[in-house]
Amino acid sequence: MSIKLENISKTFNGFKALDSINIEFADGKLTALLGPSGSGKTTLLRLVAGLEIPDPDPAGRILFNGKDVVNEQVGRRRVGFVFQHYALFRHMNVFENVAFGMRVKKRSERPSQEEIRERVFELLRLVQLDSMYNRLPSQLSGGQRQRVALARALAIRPEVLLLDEPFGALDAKVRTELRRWLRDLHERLHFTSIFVTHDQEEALEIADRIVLTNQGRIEQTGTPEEVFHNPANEFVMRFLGEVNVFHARVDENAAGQVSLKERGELSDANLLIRPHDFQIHLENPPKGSRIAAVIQKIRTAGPIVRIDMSDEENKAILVHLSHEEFRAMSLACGQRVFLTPRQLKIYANGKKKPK
Amino acid sequence: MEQERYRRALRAPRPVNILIGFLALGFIGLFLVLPLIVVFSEAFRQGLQVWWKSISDPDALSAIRLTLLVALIVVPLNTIFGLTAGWALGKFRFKGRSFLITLIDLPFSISPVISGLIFILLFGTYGWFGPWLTAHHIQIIFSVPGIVLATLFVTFPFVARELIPLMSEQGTEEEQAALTLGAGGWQTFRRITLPNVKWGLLYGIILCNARAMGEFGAVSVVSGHIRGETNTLPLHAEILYNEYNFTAAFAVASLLTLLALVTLIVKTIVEMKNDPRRRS
Amino acid sequence: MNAIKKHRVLPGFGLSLGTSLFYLGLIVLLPLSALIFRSSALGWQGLWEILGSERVLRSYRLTLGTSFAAAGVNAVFGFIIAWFLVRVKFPGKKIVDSLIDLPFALPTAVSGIALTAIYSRNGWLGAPLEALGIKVAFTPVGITFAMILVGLPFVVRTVQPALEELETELEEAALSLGAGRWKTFCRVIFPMVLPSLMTGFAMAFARALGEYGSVVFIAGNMPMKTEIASLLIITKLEQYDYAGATAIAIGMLAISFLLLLLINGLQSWSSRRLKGI
Repeated sequence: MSIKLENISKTFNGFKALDSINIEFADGKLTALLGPSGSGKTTLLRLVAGLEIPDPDPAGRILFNGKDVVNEQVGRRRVGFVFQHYALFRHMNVFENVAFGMRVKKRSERPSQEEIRERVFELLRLVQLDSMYNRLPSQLSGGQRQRVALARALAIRPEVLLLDEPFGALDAKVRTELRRWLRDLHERLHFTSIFVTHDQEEALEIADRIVLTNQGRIEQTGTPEEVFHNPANEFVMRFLGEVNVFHARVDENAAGQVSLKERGELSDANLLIRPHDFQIHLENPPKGSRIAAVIQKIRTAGPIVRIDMSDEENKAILVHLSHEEFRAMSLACGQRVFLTPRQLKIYANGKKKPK
Repeated sequence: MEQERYRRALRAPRPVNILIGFLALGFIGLFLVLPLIVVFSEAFRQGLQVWWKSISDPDALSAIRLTLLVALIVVPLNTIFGLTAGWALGKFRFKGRSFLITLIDLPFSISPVISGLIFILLFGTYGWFGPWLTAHHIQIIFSVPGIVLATLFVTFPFVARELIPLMSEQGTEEEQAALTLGAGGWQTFRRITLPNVKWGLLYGIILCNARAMGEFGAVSVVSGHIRGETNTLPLHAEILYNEYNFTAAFAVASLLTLLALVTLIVKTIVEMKNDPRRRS
Repeated sequence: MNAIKKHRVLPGFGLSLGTSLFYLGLIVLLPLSALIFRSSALGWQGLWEILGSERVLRSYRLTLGTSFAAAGVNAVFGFIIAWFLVRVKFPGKKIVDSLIDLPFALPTAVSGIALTAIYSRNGWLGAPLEALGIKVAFTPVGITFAMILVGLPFVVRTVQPALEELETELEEAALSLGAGRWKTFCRVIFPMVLPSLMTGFAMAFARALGEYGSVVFIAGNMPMKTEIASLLIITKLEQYDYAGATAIAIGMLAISFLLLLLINGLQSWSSRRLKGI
């Protein structure tokens, strides 16, 4: 099912959580809503589910397969919603939690006891919890609760699955496991899924598409590759990974040539370089822009080598190297080196500028 | 080691603890246990038969009937109110909410006698509706409706004040989950909200019931003390006592005391089930 | 384009709030407004005339005095009992703990006649006390005793949680800084619990002011001597003196609302003070 939001706003007590949002979620894709906390991503998800009502003025639309559902109640929208803290019914065991959606159907539509039982166990096998069917939520671990919440949401055969920070409350190891498992599950069932996260790694790893939100607006939409390699603005670039920011000056006379700002000069653009996009030179390279820096600290524990440097103005610069490169160069603390960027992005006033 | 030393130091020395225990238990014994003992010993002073005769007396039986009737009307009404107030004030946030909660608590801070007085001012012979009621031959004061109204007022907050904080603390996530799964409002309330607050609800109900059956001041003002007609159990005990029929008075009191003890036991059980601190 | 209907996601708000407001209005607010209107009909002059009479003033003084004394005794012993329940291990603790709530569950008439039987001239304790020349029943002391009984759980139940929540770390810190046990109690524990103790005191005081059932038997009800305000209201009502009853009631109500404000203030003060740390 495709989902489209047209001109949707949401205000809470005068605070604009979402500001005329327009967005389309493609059928069958796993989309990540990514942004810092308070950016409106959870509100967006809850609006799709019908758990929030959009501002009546200006009137927007929420289309499910082209049909406006904005006045449709939550229960009628057939969305599977997985809550951040799972919201499992604490007085019901796992089986009853999953069966709930079927038990509350109208008598004419309600499956028989036998069918309910079959469907519940099918789902519990899917989330690998069939042996725990009679446990209470309080007797489950965080990861298990998450999977019960998912099975419960799937039990009503939703056409869209919405997950609010699905891995937010789990510890690191369970998190990565469940992440992969969710991706597999989506591959198998592939219906339209949207999940909210503030973890860019998570979004980049499992989503088909990423929607970046900030202060109630959408900053960029695209595949993980697009948003990572072609960030639309400084916010996106900063949010998707570590980055070094330099103040720069755009030279209008020299056809928009950009150079790093000198001491005392006003800057009118920011120059952004990812830590892994630096080339380190031991000697001063003859031509091109270069930054002189002194190595302050080297950390080799981990998959890459992280080097803290400082430039002449004592500004911190972070550089990432592979272990091979690092060994080949034999760097040491206190050493003076020169950096040239392999790749950089320039944004003036937060907007991208042609290089 | 260090910690263990402090921990030991934290505990008061033994003689101090013994003194504290002596004072605490002595005070409890004097003001709480001794009256209990007196009630039962006075009630059975002349043997089981006299006790039985006192409470199977027609006037006593009618008092028991009236007390049960009042509780049977008052407790369900206040329970329904408690549930609606719990839903509206516990699950939603809106302007004036805390003011409403204060209003609901109001009867707790009003003396029982005043609680009775206000109904006299409304429905008594010289009250607001007095002339109209007299003209239509409807009697509220000095009859059962007045007793019911005064008891409703006095026990009004019991269920609501248990449920509002409980429902508010539990939040609405589970209800929202039920809604996304297709449950209607009533189904959500019955299957999710109600089971989650059942112990708090029971707690409120038993306290409401205890007060409804035992209320004295407010009921005494509006009842008129008509034997066999408008006497509840506490009023019956009062009349017997004032007639120097002590044994019969204490026999009736022993019934009410039993009710209080049962209430305390149920309350303790519910607290153990309800309180996560004590449950774990 | 469909207009977006403004409503709440969780259903039943209008219905439940409407029902609650209707019921609240009918059972609580309408009757109370009768009291307010009646007294406003009296005017300040009329009110003062009634409240200024010797008999009313004496009953107010008696009620306030005995209530204050009872709340004071309860504050001291309530604190000791709360401490005992929280800090001292002993067998049967659960039973003693449950027993504290007895005055909440016991009809006031029962405690009234029981206390009177204990302290009357030939009662269990009344007789030996009489021999010592101490009279309890039918004196202000007896009234105070009845008020102690009904007010006790208020102090214990507000102080107990405050004592339970005290972090042992705090005391450990004080002890590790070299403070002795007594000093730690006076300088650390007691100030932390004081707001709750004051709240409990105020609640017990408020409860005692309005108490009727347990007091009326032991008081003796002699005009000008042992006649509490609640009883005077009833006496006035029995003489169909609605104005008199209303005036006395309004005076009582004013005092208990002042106390309610004080209690609310104390509670927000203590929670602000403790959470601010």
